[in-house]
Amino acid sequence: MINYFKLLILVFFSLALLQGLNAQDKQEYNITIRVEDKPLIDVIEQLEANYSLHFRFKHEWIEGKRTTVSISNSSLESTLQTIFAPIGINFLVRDKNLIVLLKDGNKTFTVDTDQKDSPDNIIAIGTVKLGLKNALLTGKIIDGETSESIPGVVVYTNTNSTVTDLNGNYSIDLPVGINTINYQHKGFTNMTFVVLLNSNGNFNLSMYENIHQLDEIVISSKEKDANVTEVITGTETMSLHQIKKMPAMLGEVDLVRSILTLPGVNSVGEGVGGFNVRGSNSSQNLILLDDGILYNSSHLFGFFSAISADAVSSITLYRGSIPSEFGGRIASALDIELKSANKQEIKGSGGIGIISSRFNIEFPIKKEVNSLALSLRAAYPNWLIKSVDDVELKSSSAFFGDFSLKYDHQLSEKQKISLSGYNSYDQFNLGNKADYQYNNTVTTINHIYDISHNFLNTSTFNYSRYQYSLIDREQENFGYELDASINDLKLHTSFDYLGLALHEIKFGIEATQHIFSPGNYEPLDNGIQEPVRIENETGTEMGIFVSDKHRFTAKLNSYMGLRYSAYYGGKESLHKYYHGLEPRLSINYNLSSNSALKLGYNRMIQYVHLISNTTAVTPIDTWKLSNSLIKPTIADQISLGYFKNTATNDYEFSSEAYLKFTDQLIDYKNGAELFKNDEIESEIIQGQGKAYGLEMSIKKNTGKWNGWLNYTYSRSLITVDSPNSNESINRGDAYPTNFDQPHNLNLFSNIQLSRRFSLSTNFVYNTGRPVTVPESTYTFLDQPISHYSNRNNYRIPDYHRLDVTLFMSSNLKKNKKVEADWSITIYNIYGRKNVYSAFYRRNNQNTEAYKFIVIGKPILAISYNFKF
Amino acid sequence: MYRSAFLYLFVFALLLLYSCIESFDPDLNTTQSRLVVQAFISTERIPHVVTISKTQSLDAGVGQARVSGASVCIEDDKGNCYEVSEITNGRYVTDTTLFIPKTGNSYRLRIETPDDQSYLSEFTLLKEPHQIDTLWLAKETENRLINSAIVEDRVTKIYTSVKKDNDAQYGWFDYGGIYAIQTPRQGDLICFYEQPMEPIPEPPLTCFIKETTSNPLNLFSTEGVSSDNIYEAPILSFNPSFKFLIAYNMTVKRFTIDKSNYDFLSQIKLQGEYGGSLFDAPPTEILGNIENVSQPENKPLGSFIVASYSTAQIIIRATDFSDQLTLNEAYPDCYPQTIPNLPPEEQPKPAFFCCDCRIAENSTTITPQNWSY
Repeated sequence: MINYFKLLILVFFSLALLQGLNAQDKQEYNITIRVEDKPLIDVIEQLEANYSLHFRFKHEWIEGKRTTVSISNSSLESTLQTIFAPIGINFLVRDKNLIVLLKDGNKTFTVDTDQKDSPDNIIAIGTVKLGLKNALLTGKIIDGETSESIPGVVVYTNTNSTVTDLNGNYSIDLPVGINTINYQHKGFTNMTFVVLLNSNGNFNLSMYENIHQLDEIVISSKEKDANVTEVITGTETMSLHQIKKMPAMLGEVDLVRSILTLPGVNSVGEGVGGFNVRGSNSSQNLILLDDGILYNSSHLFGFFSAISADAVSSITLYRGSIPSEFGGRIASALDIELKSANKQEIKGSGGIGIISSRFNIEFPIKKEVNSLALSLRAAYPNWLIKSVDDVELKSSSAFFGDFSLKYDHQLSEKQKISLSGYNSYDQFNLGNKADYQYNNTVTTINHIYDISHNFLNTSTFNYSRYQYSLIDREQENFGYELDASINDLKLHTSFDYLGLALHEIKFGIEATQHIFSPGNYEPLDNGIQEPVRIENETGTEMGIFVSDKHRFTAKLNSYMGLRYSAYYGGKESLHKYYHGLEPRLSINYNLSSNSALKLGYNRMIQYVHLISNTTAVTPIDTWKLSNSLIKPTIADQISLGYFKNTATNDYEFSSEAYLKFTDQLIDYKNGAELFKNDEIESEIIQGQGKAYGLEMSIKKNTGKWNGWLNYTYSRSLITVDSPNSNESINRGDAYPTNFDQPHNLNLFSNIQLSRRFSLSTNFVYNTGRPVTVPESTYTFLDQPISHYSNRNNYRIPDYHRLDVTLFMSSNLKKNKKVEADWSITIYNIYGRKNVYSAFYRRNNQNTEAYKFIVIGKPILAISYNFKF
Repeated sequence: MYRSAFLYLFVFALLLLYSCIESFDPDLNTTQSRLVVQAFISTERIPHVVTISKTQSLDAGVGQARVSGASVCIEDDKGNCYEVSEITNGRYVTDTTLFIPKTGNSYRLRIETPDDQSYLSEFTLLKEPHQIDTLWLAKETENRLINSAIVEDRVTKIYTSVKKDNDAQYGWFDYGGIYAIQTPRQGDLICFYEQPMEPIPEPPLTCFIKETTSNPLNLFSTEGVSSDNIYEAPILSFNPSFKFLIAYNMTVKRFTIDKSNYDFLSQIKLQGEYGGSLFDAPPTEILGNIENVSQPENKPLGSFIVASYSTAQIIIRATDFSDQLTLNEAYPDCYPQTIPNLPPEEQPKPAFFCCDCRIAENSTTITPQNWSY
């Protein structure tokens, strides 16, 4: 099976490389179309069908409009001009086959010169002046959709660079003559213009968000060619558009679980919180929500993400060379940004699903000055729980929900402030036996100060709190209550300096104060136990960082970062000081305009640790700070990747290999007792980790059919050896970690069946995760005992699953006040009985193996979404 | 432990509509067998048994690969060595006339196997037994996860009062005794269809059956209990059965052991309850208090358990249970289902003891001394 599988992958990627990537490098159109008095929508659909074009527009612009066209062997530009000019619609051709229609003749760029031209040609600016060597190009950059100015756009050529100020203005000194000017900003499509600069001139520009559908605002922070141009290796930005198109269990759009589709990212099973990056524990991921640390990213033990997709504007995962402003975790950094409200008009959206509903609203308080975005989600899983004919469940209940808000305020031309808050809440009651409750809180104050036109300061102050409690009444007289919390205060300030040509310099400082209260186990009223007091822990983590994104040549770009981290803390009796340098390096060598070779290295140090010897993390696992007995975990990773896009960025291919060594990786002694243990240090052992892998991906980004195929081969091993045999695992031999799943494949596709209907499919395949299985048996005092000789010595059967979602968007009627769509999802459509876990029971004198299947049937879900 | 059990139950319950449990057949490697020592001595005046065996493959079924020809001795902290003689293959027994374990002494086990390996356990103190306070019964319900169903059981529990000393108490509760039955088909020849039989006494005939049990995993500890507390501890739990239709004159035994023995048995118990959930800690090799002196890296499995014990009596009757069983429910073996279209002579027959309680194992019709109900 495995050999066949490898062959399949090899063939697939070989074919893709040989044929697919070169097939669409350049597309010339020779369009012939003849229609008489037909609805304009039909003409557009005909063009899309016959010439693989994709139009983006608001339906009301063309609703009811009819046209007569007779064109033969005409160019694309000419055809579009003929069709749309008479009805006052302009257009912008992007990526050769994506056409954005623009109402009321708005130009996407304006050039204050004697000549005007299309962006694909040379634009001449100014008048020719003999002897002039340099000239100043100034301009203003606005969001083409909202007309708001865009601060922080990087404007660069191969000789100089600058950045737009808070009002979107820029000025750059350039040599007279032909200059290739690039405009780059997170969240917007890169734009490049060839400008013939004759003298000082003005060049204003409208930029558009990357995947920009005017009939459905879709936000993505990924640039089309980021696959190749992104200097920092292993950076993945998920498009929220794609996330929403992905089939999800019970119809719940899921931010964090969508990350599992990325190469090198997987999970140990259904209903398990978090994600594992390149064979690491989920607690080794730094999850930042508006820069505040999120300790638990899951609702309902892990079945759903803790953050509603509607509340988020961007989500970026760094798993290769992690920028130096991030620190404190060794595996990855997941940067989630809450959505800022529209400053022009009120907007809202929501959805009703079978297990939860959500509502979002955003509105300006004072136009152009301040705005507020609110998001609320509440779940009602009780009907599902009570519908099961089971005594225990009839008296059980559950609830989860989350709430977020973000307030933005333009203080002055140079200063902007935002306040954001997030809170999630989970509560479970299991009959009269136990009550669980946990909640996350993250609050952030963010201040941006435009010190000068190329010097920007960003400061954030966060307060994060993760609190959980458990009331256990299972054993009479031994009931107890546990109330624990983690409180973090974090200050982060960074400066972006673009005053040096070809350099993007960032430096700053970060300080985090951790206060961990693992909680006291207090007996309940009728309890007879002695309370167990777990000592509180405090720690201070400091980071000073500097980085430079440097364009050495047109082909060679690099990211060089250095972080110095220092830490002091732990239990009071075991306080310890640790510190270390964390270099980060990434080199991008452009082999051609659409292919690149990337090399990365980074060192990360982790001072906080999740203490859990179970495969899946639970909401009530304990976090601990490093101390004199628990050393920080240190990871060194190198990666090398080849990235190639087609010229139109329709197709992306990437292949990245990595090798990671981890020192002082935490594991646990055999039979470790972590519960109610104030001396957990004695149960912990630290070993050496080694992970390596090859991640391959091919994506089709545009067109009626789009999607991707990701395949990863990876291994994750740990060695725990000690002269003391009690502190060695598997006699000191390397063994697979719980997250070692060598083969990992994901195939996602979305097909636009018509303007209203689309179909998404998602196929997942993973090698079964390691489990510890008994290999022999014996009896002791008449008790049959299974003998488990080695840890993680077997694997559960491989995991695979196919999900399908049919989307039906709102009808095409004009002037709708509310737009709505439906989605019907079938999760695990062929009812694969994937093994969640294996266990053993004695049946008479024989030991029998059983497998527990969490989801062994297809799950149908319907959800309704709306917006206004 | 308990918190993970809750999580497992909750996740399982939540997805009960979609989840299931099935058997599966992992392709296991064969591994080298390991030496297993099971040794248990107590203050009970009986021959104490040491069994030496090897681990077996999972599908080996009944029986153990015993190790014969070993030299076994129990040493006390006074320097005495009591030989433990092999009576059957791999089964070694103490001489009750020579070896009488005394509380306050410490004992250890020494073994020399025929392959010249020496094994030695740690010294373990034979502690003074903790006495059993008053016993009483309570009718309760409890839920159990059986395969894919959570089942509510109506049970009767035996409680006792426990007061914690300055030191934590460790041990387990077991039981044995005599119960009375009147089999439902007493005098009927159907059980012995076509077999010649002596005349069977007609009902009512009461038989008294002696039962002994061994349940060292019914563990009990006062660890973590406030020292000033006297609390009511459930120590044994019973489902209604034919044993209680008349009366069960029960002897409750309380074994007292030290913490290291308790921790060993706790690990065995925990592993037996391992549900394989992602919220469970992975199972591990369980090692006891015996070392391989010749090759320390090859530790044997098993342990040397040293216990003292005390007893108390209680009588349990059918009225002590919430549910009254019918005869069909109480004696399912006595009422086999009739198979359609099968001639009478080929129909399943009731178990022999259904027609004559005298032939049940350990049965007598002689009323025991002090028997009352």
